[in-house]
Amino acid sequence: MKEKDAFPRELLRGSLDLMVLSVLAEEPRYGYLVQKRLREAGGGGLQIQAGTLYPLLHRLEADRLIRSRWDDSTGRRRKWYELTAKGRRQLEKQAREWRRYAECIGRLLGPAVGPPEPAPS
Amino acid sequence: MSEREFETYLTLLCRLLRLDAAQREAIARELRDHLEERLAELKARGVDREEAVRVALAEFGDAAGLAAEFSWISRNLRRRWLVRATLGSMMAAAAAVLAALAMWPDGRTGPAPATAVAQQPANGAAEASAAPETAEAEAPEDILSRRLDAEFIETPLADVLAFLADSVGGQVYVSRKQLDDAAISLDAPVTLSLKSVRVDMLLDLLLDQVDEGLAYVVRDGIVIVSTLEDLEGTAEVRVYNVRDLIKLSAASAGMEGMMGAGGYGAEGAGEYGAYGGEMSGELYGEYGMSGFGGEHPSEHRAHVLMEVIKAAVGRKHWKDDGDYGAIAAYDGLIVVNHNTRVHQQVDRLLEMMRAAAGEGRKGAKP
Repeated sequence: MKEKDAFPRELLRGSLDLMVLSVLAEEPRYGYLVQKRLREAGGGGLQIQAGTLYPLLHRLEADRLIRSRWDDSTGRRRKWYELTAKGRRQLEKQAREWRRYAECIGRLLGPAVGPPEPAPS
Repeated sequence: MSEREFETYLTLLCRLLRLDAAQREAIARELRDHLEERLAELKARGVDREEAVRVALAEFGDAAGLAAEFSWISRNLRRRWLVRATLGSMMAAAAAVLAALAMWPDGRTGPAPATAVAQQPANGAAEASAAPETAEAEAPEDILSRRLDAEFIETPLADVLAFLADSVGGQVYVSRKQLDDAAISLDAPVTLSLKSVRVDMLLDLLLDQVDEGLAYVVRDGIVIVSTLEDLEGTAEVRVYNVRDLIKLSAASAGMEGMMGAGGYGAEGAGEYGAYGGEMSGELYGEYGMSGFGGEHPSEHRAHVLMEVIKAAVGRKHWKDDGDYGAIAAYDGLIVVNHNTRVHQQVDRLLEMMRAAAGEGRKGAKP
């Protein structure tokens, strides 16, 4: 949870959409849960500010990659987001691109700086 | 207490959102839910209440920036609809052409860009929802004379300009290269809190806060922000008809009789401030003939008025040599070669003088 471990903005910029789509592909969530899930997954590296997250959610919804509905069955009126079919296709496409990109980076980094360090326990 | 701070933030955010009431309420409700949950979590972790409120709000960033983002998303959505509609009608048109000529029109690269969506300035709650969406681009003067509420706290200039463009439904272009060359940063923070301020006034204040060398002009409905130096290249000559002002002074000195009553009547108030030589020159010819010795009093008054303009707009803007920054008077007309910003100031000044003169001359207007 250390601040200094947060990923640099430039890295996040190109992949935040993909992350949010992935999180919503797991199950429908409301904004706060999306943020929480990202934080868990990132091990402290993903500090997505609310001020960034909500406009992003609204943009994805405007693009019809996700859809929302209000639900108050939990006793509180909440806006839940879920993936649309279009969002699912977009996620799969972006995931393929991302993996290919990561492999490419890996191939370049291997000879340059050696194999990846083992994750800190 | 915490509730109140959230509400203050959300109210401010809503005021800044260029959306209808239902959309604003939905956004406020979603964010309120988040804030409350975040607050509960922080408190569970032992963070004291005050600090928790501060942290939760800080995570949202400043209200102006966030509102601009939400508004932008919604506006873009509408714009896409417009493009889609345009595309649809174009396809229908293309099909008609195909049927008629059996020939595909070339060179058609895409749909016309969607025109700016005009919106009402947000004067309050319900009004924005009733704002009619017109597809017509507004005249630049209209954009500048619009009023809006501005609340910025240490907000980067770039965000403020984006917000501004969004609120008036106009376009703002920033000449990044010129700013870079002048080492002026678009990230420079501005702080400003004004209610119902005119857009041109707001721009003046914003740009002055960042750098005195910044200026803007309006070209074809687009607000262009750049350095004063750069914009000087965009000088234009305008002719201000100030005969009314010069004559008013004469009239108040009791010279009406000499001018002929017809002279006034022919120049309706609607024509005041029109640029160019639309005014009836003949009448003035007559006036000129009516006989004053030496420098015509109206000529003299024109020179005094010119000095007033120079002093009011700021002497540093005027140069005696060269074309740019020149001001001259001729026959009741004042000719100014300057950038749009100075022209606007001249315009505003003359407007104010006319208003003030009108006050002291009640009932004399046709």
